[in-house]
Amino acid sequence: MSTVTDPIQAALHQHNADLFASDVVGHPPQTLVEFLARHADAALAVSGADQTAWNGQIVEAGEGILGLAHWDGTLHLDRECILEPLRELYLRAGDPQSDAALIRYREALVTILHEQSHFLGPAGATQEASRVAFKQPGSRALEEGVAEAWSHANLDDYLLDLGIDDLAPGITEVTADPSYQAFVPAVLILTADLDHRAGLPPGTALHLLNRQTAEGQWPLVVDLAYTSSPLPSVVPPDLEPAIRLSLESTLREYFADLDTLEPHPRDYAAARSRTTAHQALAHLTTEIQSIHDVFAPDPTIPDRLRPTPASRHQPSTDPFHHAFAGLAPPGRPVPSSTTPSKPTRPSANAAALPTERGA
Amino acid sequence: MEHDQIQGDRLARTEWLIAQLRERAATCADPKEQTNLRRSADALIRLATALRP
Repeated sequence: MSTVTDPIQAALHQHNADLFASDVVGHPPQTLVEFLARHADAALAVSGADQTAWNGQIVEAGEGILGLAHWDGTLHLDRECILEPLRELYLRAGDPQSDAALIRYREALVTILHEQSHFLGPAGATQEASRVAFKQPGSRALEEGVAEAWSHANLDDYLLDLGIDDLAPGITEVTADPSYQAFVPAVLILTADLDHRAGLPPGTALHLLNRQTAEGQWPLVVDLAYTSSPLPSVVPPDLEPAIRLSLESTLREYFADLDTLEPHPRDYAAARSRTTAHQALAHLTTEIQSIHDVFAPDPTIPDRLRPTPASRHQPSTDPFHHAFAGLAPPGRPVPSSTTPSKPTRPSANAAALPTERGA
Repeated sequence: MEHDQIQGDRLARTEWLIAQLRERAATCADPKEQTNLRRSADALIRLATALRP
């Protein structure tokens, strides 16, 4: 019978062999094994999500992966950058630490919280539905940006919940920079705008999105934008689903362009990410206004200048046409693949490397 | 059939990008950029895993 002497492998072996250890370990965790057993519960508590799709298994990552929330529910963590710093944190619990050590711990912990965020979802959400939605344009940019922005914004609460601020004094005083600069700035601008539109406290939209899987994130964005606009009071109920889909398609198209920024340096990617978000929101506002004008036309505009129902089906370059292109006629089922045409606009980075998006 | 071909092309492109990002991360002198590149590769691995049949 072999004996596991590698402390990291020993901790993973003990954890994976005893999946329900979280029911019996002390709180706060005092060892790496106890941390591994409790860390997902803390993510649930801080996020307020209904469920986690994490299957309880943790494996040492290979192939240069830092952290990965696998679709099968397994959490993959890098030894050097995540598991080893955490082992050291518990080994040296309570000792004074250098800022460099605290930053290493913080970076490891924020990566874990980010990966656990991928597993969070509302009651009844499935990994399969999330996986299918993740492949749609703009889904990855939103989900990765939300997970990273939310994890950094809520890391201190996570550390407090796990008692890590006592084990590593000063860890809440140092900072770690967010990754995913192609996505995070755009997500912060989008969610701040949604908070503003909906009259919500700052950070609310980000928090709500983090509780969703890829399946529900874009529909939630559109729900916040739609319900906080004048549209619900003027749009006929049978057209509402198609109009929501059109708004979603507009935003997805801009966020899908963010993929092209990933290979670029942080500062460049961040600047282009911000520009793209502002363009997306300007387009959203224009589209909402155009739709509103159709159903509640300004009485000061002469009738002859308004589009007629017949003209809606004619090729046109006006905002009305773009807002409704691809929508089903009233009373018809809404096709799931509706993709309204959009005005021509510059891409986030036309000169970027090829993206992973398909043709 | 055509859908499978598109998915296959997209997967191949994603895997190529992952390899590019890892190659750049391996030679990157700036630790922040290196972490950024590795985590971007991780996000693409999540996509590649989703795209695989």
